[in-house]
Amino acid sequence: MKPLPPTQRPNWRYIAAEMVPQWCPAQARDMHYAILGCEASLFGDSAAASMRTSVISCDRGVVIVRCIRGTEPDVETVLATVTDVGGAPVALHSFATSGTIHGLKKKIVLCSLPSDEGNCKIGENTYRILRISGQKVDLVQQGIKQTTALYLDTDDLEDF
Amino acid sequence: MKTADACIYPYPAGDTSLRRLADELELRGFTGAIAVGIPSGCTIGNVRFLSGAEIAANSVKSCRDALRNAPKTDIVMVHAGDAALNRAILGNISLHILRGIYHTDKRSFDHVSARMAADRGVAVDIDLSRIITESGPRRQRALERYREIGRLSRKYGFMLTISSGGRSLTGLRSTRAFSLLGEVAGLDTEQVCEALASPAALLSPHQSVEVIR
Repeated sequence: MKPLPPTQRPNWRYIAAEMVPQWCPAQARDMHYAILGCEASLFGDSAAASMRTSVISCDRGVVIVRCIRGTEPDVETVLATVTDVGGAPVALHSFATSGTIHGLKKKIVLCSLPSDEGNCKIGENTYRILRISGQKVDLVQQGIKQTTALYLDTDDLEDF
Repeated sequence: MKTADACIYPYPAGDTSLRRLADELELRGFTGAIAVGIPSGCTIGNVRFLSGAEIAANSVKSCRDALRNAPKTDIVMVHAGDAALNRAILGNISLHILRGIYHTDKRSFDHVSARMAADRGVAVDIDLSRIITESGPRRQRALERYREIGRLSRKYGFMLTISSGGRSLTGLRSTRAFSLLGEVAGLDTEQVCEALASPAALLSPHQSVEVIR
């Protein structure tokens, strides 16, 4: 089969968004459904269909989303309304847009993965300590139904 | 404080410490915020925090009592109610921000309240958490109310503030998201910029010129 010439292909735009918290174990499929749900909820099914949004990758705290050229502001608005993915609280902050994935990846600076630094006990709860870049420390409590977290600083951890 | 989030809840009301919020706010393009529950204003890094008190009352008397009992803060925020309560609050209470306009009915904040807010230098808060977290009829109602507030603000010139209402790191949004969501709520770019700068303006309101001898 002959491939479509470039002029007849859709004009895609690729948006990179930072996932907060970085350690959230969200799958690309869950992310895709979460974004589509928010899109339909905010702009309606018709507008959502015209954006043709899909998640290209969701890895190491960065999500790459593809959409039709001209719909980037709407997709960025939708990304701002994403609050949970697969039951886990997540925020998406878009930071770069490009016409190619190659161009977009040049703008992405991958952060180091959070390091596990054992456990700590606050009150009656035991938290797993995850050290994020710089002085940021996340205390994560893995429950049966949901994960709760405390977002602190190393100085705050000493205060506790 | 050129860009400020008008309401955030640090630990213990939320799950994020003030230092961590300062890091995150700076990363998202903010230079300040009003934090509810902190004893006094402070500056962490390049982010200036103003202390805020949030009062929800159903009469002017209870509002005044709550204000008297509340610790002294930089910014006083009062939750809106019906039309009579809003007018009474705007006329009798010394407040900075009228919050929670999204859950009031359509006639609760009319042209009279708008004019009073403009005269007394009171800002009306646009809480984006209602657009972000809610969906369906509740979100539609909030959007409808915000569009009406935006229209009244353009006409009567009272100040607006925009807040994320974030209780967690995941509840904060960037300044870019603020302007995009503000557009969805019917505010134009200029209004969003002014609303982001309003918290600083609330601390030094415009007053008539005084002759000092």
